[in-house]
Amino acid sequence: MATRVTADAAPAPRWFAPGLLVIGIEALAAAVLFLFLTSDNWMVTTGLLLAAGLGFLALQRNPAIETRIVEWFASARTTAILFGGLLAVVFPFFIGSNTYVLHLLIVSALYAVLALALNFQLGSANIPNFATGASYGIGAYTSALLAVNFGIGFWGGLVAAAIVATFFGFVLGIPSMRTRDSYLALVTIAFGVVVHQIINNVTWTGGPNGVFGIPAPSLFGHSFSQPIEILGYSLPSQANFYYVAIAVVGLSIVVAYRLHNSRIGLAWNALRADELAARCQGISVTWYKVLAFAVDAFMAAFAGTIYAFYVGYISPDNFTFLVSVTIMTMVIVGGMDNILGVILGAFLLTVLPEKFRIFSDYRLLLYGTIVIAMLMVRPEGLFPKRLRRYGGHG
Amino acid sequence: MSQPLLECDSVTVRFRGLLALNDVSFSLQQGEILGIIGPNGAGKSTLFNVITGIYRANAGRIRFAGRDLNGKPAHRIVELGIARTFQSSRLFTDMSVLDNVVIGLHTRTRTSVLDAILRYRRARRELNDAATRAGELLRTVSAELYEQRHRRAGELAQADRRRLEIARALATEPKLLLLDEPSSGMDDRETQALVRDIRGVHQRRPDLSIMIIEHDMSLVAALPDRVMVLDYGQKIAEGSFESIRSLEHVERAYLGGKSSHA
Repeated sequence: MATRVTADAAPAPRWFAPGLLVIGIEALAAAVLFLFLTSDNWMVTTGLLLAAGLGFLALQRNPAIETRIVEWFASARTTAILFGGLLAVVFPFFIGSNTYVLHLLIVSALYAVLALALNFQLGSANIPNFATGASYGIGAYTSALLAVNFGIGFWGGLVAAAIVATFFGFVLGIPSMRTRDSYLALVTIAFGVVVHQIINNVTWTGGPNGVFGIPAPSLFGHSFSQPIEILGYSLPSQANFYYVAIAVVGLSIVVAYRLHNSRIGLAWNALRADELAARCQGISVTWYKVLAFAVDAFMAAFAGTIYAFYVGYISPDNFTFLVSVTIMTMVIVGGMDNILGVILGAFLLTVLPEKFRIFSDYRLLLYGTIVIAMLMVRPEGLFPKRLRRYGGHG
Repeated sequence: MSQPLLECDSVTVRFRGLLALNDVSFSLQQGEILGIIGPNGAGKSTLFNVITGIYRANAGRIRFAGRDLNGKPAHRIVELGIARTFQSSRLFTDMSVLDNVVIGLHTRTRTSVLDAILRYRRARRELNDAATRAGELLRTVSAELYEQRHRRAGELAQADRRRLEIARALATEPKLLLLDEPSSGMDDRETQALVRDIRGVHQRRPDLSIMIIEHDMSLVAALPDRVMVLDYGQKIAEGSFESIRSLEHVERAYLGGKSSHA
């Protein structure tokens, strides 16, 4: 079947064709997301899930279709980025005053940042780091404590949290250098537990009560606790955080893309495939492992800071081991070492349990079943990793 | 005689009680091809591992191009100019053929993390140049392999995997290339092609020194200028293939005992 489809792919499409197709696919995806988020009817949400499942099943059966879609996006990259960005910006206008949906989107975006952070390790370099939740917590607590105790604002906190978390990332990286696979996983689990316990038991972090009264950030005199008034539209105050979160997702995508398409990303991939062979190509395994820990912590701290200022209250319960496991699931289900896949995984696994609230007691059962089903249909993730291309020739 | 490129002086490697290499000394000139033979477990691969920094020598000195290699980490040794292939080929199987060679250029490219993020254009240009160089290198090693450059390395046939491993090693721009049983898993025809490939590589790079561990005597007879025989971690003979094969103790240790390979 694959050969038949590639055979009729021969005539070159006119220059605008891939662009239109890309816009169509992105608009469809946004429409599906909108319907899925706003619909209260369980039949609609289940139907959409089933349709998406069948879509992925079809892709799995016909790799040629998948290849062709990927080629459309590759040849109309600028269009894809601009239209995707536009959709992200106008999305809150369609949602309007539905703050619950906006909240889901913000949390999804923060998880997307966390999943992209972990992807440097798990996806690129096959380092099973179960401490991303801890770095997230270190970032959140650093900026929250600085804000509450020293009056340092959101933007300063963002930078400070990233520096502190990166330092701890290095600290975690050092004992991890000499271990690998399951042993490495254990070291990171221990680190996560230690961080959680310290936050929970030390008085200056507020102990189990956490930190509260984190003030709302402001930008150019506009407080984030105020609604956005623009062109006669009024967006709820959550929209402020939506835009910050989306901006950080955008930034994370740029960083992830640039690192992936550089010798750094190649070195990480070499580590993933064969550590000994990587050493024998002149790659300092130690340095690249520690580097992956640092980059992961840096980005996780951004997400942590936004979360702290968005909710205004954080406690140790927000940063448990379970959070790290959730992030890991997002990377695996979405597609290791694939930026779009990881983001899709984050959105899907954040939104699904919320939409399943109507099934009350069966919620987690359904959620687990769907995760398993997705891994059965797409064992390499919803969007699997792809081979690199150079200088335009496929 | 000029200063040798590689000098091993009384190198000893011990694993717990086992003497894997016992007081082995030899030297290698620039542009020379040295064959290493010996029965299984004689310490041939251990010798490669200690030269490339995978193992540490318990005693003895290894000097390469005027520098002491003892205690240097493996990735630094690659940078100094020693590249290797593995007995069971160790490619980056989930990456493209071309990427395997681009990774071989790691020590010859410079982009740092900050460069990659903040000066993307420059980083991208460097990587594109590296890809072009890698492509050219692939073509000189094997035109067939070049045609398959966008395939996953794991999909290659056995003989092509070897070729790719050699191309990847050459990408590090070595002064010394270590080949660990390059013909293993190949039939006679493929082995002959391999001999031609290695000769071609050496003709284009006459200054490159090569050490080859081999069991296939047709290859040992055809390629090396000199052969060294190891047995139980000790060097028991050294010289031209013709002079070695007639020595009685070599025959007893190796050639006679291993009829299947001889």
